[in-house]
Amino acid sequence: MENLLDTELVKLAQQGQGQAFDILIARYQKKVTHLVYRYVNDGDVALDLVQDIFFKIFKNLVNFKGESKFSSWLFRIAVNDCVDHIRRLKVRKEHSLDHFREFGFDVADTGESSDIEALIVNKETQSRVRELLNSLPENQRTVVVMKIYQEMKFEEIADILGDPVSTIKSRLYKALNTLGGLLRRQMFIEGGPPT
Amino acid sequence: MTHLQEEQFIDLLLGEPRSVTLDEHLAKCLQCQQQLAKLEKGMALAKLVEPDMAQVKYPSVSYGGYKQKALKTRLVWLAAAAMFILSLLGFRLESNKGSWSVQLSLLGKNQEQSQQIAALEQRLLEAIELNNKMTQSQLDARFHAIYQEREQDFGDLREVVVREMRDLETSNSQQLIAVRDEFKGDLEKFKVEGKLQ
Repeated sequence: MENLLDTELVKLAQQGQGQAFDILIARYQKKVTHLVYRYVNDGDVALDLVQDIFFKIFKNLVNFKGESKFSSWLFRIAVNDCVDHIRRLKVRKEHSLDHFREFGFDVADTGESSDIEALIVNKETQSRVRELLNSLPENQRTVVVMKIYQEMKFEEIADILGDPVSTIKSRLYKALNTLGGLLRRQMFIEGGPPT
Repeated sequence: MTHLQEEQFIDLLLGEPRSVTLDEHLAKCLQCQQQLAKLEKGMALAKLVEPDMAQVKYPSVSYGGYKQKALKTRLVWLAAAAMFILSLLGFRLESNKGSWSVQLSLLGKNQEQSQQIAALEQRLLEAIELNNKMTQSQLDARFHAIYQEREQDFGDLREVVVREMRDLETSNSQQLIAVRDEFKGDLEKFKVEGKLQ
């Protein structure tokens, strides 16, 4: 049974074969857990979320008609749950870009810099970068997690999120542009302008 | 060639398949080179703050476990629905010195409801009676005021009439005296003239 395709396992699971469901979950558990953990950056929260996601899969599998790939459907549910969780926590409100500007950051700043590694060693800086990453619009943050961390293909991400590849790339561009702009300003404040 | 588009920057950054002309433009354009460098820094930052995967916890997931969980969830909902329906039918949960019990109190509830309705009816009757009393009292006061006003008017009228009557009587008396005196004068005159014996 382990050699069966997702679609075949889904059909068997829909007929009530628990083993097929277990194989499907085992196939994607690691990827989904990593995605969720990278999204929420908290082991316990990720654990609860993943449990909820798979329980949701269990309950709704009977309604899955195979209009998209099972993996896309599964990851879409996972991403939506992560986004819902973040919304509930109002992370964006607590860590808005205004917060960074209050600390002297200018996310729109541009220019050259050097020695990223040296800068990132500073834990406070790491914390601020993480906060800035968390404060990105959810659709940009999702693409960063899926592309930069999970190393998923653009086509796969587009299929999961239901958006064109060009839109996904545009969101990634905006996210990286924002993060890149932070670095230059941070270095200027802490160590003077780069030489 | 115009500057690189957002998608083209991402293709360059991630080594995606792209046109040779992009690389040619990048080699010549300082602005695009700077923008690409900025994006590279953004990506480096994103990667360097990637969550530590050593902290990941993997859940225990199985069809059997979820089936049991679903069953428990369903049972909880069924129990809640049953409680709701029973409460509508008149069952109620009661506590007796630290212990809880479910009792059928449909009849008791009806009796209690009847008593409540009777008490409400009684209160309603009292309210109507009070209202009537108040209304009657107000009417009485109004009539009393009218009677008093009428009595006052009659008193005034009587005084006027009496006064007028007295004036009239006085006037009549004076006229009668005048007429008598005139008769007396005429009589004396006739006597003097010998017209009367």
